[in-house]
Amino acid sequence: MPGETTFPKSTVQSRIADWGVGLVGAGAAAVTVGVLGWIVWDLMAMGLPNLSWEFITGDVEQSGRAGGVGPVILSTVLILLCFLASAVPLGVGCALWLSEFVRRGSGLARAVTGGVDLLASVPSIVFGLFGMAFFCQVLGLGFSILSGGLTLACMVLPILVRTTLSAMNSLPVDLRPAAGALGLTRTTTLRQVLLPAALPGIMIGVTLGVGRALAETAALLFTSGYSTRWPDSIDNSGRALSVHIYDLAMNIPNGNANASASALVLLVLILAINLAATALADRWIKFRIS
Amino acid sequence: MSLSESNPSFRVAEGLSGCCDSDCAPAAPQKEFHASAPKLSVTDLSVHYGGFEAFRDVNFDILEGEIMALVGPSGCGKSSFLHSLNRLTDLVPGCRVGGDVSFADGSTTRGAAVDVLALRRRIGMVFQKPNPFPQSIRKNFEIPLREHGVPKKEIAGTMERCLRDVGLWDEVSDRLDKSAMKLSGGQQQRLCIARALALDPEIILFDEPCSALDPMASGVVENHIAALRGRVTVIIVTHNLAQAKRIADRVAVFWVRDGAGTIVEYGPCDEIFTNPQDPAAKCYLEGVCG
Repeated sequence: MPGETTFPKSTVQSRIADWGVGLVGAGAAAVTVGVLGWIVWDLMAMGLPNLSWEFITGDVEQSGRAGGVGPVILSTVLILLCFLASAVPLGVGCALWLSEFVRRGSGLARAVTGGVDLLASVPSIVFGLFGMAFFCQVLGLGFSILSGGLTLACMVLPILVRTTLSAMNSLPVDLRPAAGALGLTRTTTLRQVLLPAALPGIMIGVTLGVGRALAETAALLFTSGYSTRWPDSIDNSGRALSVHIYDLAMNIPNGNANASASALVLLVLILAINLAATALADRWIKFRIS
Repeated sequence: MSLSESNPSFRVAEGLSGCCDSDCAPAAPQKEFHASAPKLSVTDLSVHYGGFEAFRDVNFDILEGEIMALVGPSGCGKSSFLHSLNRLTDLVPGCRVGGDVSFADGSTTRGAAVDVLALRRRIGMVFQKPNPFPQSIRKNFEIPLREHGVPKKEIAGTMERCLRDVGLWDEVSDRLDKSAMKLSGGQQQRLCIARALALDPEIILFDEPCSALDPMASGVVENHIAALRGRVTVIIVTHNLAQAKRIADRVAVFWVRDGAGTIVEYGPCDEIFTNPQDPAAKCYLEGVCG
């Protein structure tokens, strides 16, 4: 018919290709979720029978084969607090300096970010050895929760710097001129305008860092030590959950059941911290834009 | 005293009375104010970004209480000119400003000795895209007012006065502690005008304040800018020639000459629109080129 436009139909091959791409994607997603599911299932099957309130609060007995993980959880939390207290101010401070006080792309900025990236590629066992040499011996902190937390801080610093930097760089570009045009000082602009706006992004960085720190074994083996006693202070040696799991699985005969139960505790701890941080960041974002 | 006597630099020595009365939109306030005393003197002003010269040889006086519109095609230095007046160009790495800008009271705005933050309180600015801080409406006033030493108990009153000034008070008075980002584009822009007014500036620079808004919101914002005539000196960059015609007392036409922007003609609004002398200005204002 004159004037009628006909469009070429899609070929069989192109429809099969579309279908195939979808199938490959779905397969990849299924494998990813499957691996996670398998790990959780395995841990639950092995560890859940041992998990109880007594296990969470009880003393470690027979090198971990019996008893609970109470002192280990306390040591883990204390190591985490030492880590947060040292890493967050350092990491966020370094990123703020890079984003607000150093010209982007300058030699100084490139040198510092290059150094930070290099730090990120150092294996954690090397941080462990450095922590033992520097914090335990040179600074005389010994095998202690403080040494462990500080070593973790060195290791996780690059994550904090990078995520904070990207949070600052993704702020609307017109906030800085807006603040400048109102005659705000750089400090006020940073403290009252930029930091509150970047807070959700910074919190995501801190959460990632906490996850990385909780999962760490190698950097803590030589720094916070193996002690399973209840710690009195951060000067004491204290065993982190990850170290406890490693020890039970590798060195203690018949330790696997309690290793799985401890791993479940660690998993729940990480999940709880992630959920809390995400909820806080969400609430903050909702207040600002919805 | 006629304008040509009070200000010899006027190219078109005519009074301001009767300026484009018939062309004003019905809702826009009439131009009854006749400016005469200079407020800001611009002498040989030029701005370079690295090797690029944005504009050069700009010489003219801005009169107290007038609305001065800057028109011209994109890339001829209008915005750079505006940013050099309140020294926001200081925030741009590699930007060099030559020449002088002085207040009628003799104080210069150039040089290292000038308190730039105090200068930006005297010369406020409203940007093309509304840029409220992503915080509560109240915080948007508190941050700049506290920075400039306004006592806490005066802030609520100032905020109400300025929000009433831009017709926003009745729309937001019940949600002052909600995020400013929840307002519509036009409301956000009026909030930014109110925030600029809160610092009691002598001059407000508007950088295409309506170009990111829909026609209705644009009309409302335009009327509020027109209502500032006589109270605050207004310099407005606009690509909307009809808008310039409606609200401006005087108009300056920017054009690129020899690789850099400059003012090719300026004078009372009706003179510039009805009888432009410069060929480039004539063809731009008649819509033939640009």
